[in-house]
Amino acid sequence: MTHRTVDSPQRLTLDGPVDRVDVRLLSGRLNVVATDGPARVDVTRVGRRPVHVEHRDGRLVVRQEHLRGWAGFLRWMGPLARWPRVDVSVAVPADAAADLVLVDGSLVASGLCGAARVEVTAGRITLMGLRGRTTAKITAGAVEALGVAGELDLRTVSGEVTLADSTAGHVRAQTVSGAITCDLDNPRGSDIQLTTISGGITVRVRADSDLTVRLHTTSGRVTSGFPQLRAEGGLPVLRNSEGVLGTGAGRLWASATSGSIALLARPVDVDEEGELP
Amino acid sequence: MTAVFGHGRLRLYLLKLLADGPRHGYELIRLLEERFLGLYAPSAGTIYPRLQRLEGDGLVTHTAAGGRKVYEITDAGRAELRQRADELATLESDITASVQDLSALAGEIRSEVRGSVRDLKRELREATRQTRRTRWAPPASDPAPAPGPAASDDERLLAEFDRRLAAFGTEVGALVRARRFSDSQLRTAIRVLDGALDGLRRLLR
Repeated sequence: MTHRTVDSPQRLTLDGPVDRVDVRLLSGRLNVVATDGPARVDVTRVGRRPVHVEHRDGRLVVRQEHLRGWAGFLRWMGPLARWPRVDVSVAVPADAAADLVLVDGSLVASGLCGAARVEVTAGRITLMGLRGRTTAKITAGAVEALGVAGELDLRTVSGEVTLADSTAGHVRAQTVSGAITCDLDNPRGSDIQLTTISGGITVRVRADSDLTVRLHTTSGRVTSGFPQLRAEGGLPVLRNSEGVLGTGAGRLWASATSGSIALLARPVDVDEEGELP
Repeated sequence: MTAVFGHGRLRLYLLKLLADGPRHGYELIRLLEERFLGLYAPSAGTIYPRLQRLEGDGLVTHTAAGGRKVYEITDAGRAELRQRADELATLESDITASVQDLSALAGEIRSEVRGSVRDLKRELREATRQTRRTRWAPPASDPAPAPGPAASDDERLLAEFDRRLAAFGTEVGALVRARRFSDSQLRTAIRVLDGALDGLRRLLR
């Protein structure tokens, strides 16, 4: 199959390899999951505008037909024109590179270990079990990630960023007004940089971390669960904290303008340690 | 959409996997991943608490082998599995259906991530509050004015208590900061402080 126009709910199974998937949708739900089986595209809901599915030379492209002319103009006028909502689910091999763009809606990406770029304008991004280099950008809405490893770069304007159960060694998170919450089982030599303007930052790292730490807030308050960090800035409110944990091989920088920063220690569970590869 | 693993069904499925033979936690995750054709792999944070609960209920036991915990089903666990055979059959067919239906699967993933994120935020909020409370606060720089000669015994004692409390804070704080302690020492010190606070609470309430 090279090109298919889908205008009613349909399930497509693709022959041949997929090493790259590009999706461009305007509105609806987009799910991209890794699978051991053959690559699939399920369109479970489609509006008036059909979805194009193209598969050529290992590259899978899924896109919604663009609005043109008056309809495209009216889209910006608010509720005058309905957004054509679609629900698309794609299953691809785990090592495929993904480039996913959704203007409005909810996006789920799971199990991929190649490079993944995810961009949503308004809605929600859910990441689970990604292991490659992941970039996620959202203007209005939250990014939630569970069990993500590898490299992570997350940016939001007004949404929250939450990282649960993460073993990523390289984390960058940037928000303007959203809170950043990270629970990191950070490997040695991690590089963690968290920046926000008015959101709060809560980050929990391993109690036996090797990190050079720099926490700074202009008008918030710093709370640290590591007593070995040096506190600076006037009392009664702590605004800066610096110091070295362990050998200090990695680095943790957190900076907030009006938000508060809390650095917490994550007790190391020896039992679980032995179980993970 | 009903969650495939809602309402204790993941627990049931773990029990079923263990009925086929002893496994360690990581193997269980891999087996689940295989069952879902690689479409879904629960995180360690999802599996371990459930195993611990199963163990608490006496349905599985564990043995430590080579630094790993190997879980094994008990007779009580097998009995539970026999009793819930119908439920398990439904679960198997639900899993098969969810592997077929990608958008339902994504729904599962979304709800699992959302649940974990909610739990994490609650946990860290509480941990932050705890950390703030146990953080060493320096005593006020100006000492309390000495009580006048006319002060009653009560007031004198109260002032004495305040002085002791401030001195206690200063001394312990200085001790802790004088040199670098290991994490376990500090954790023990925190526990001692918590214990003392608890005792005082019980005395004074």
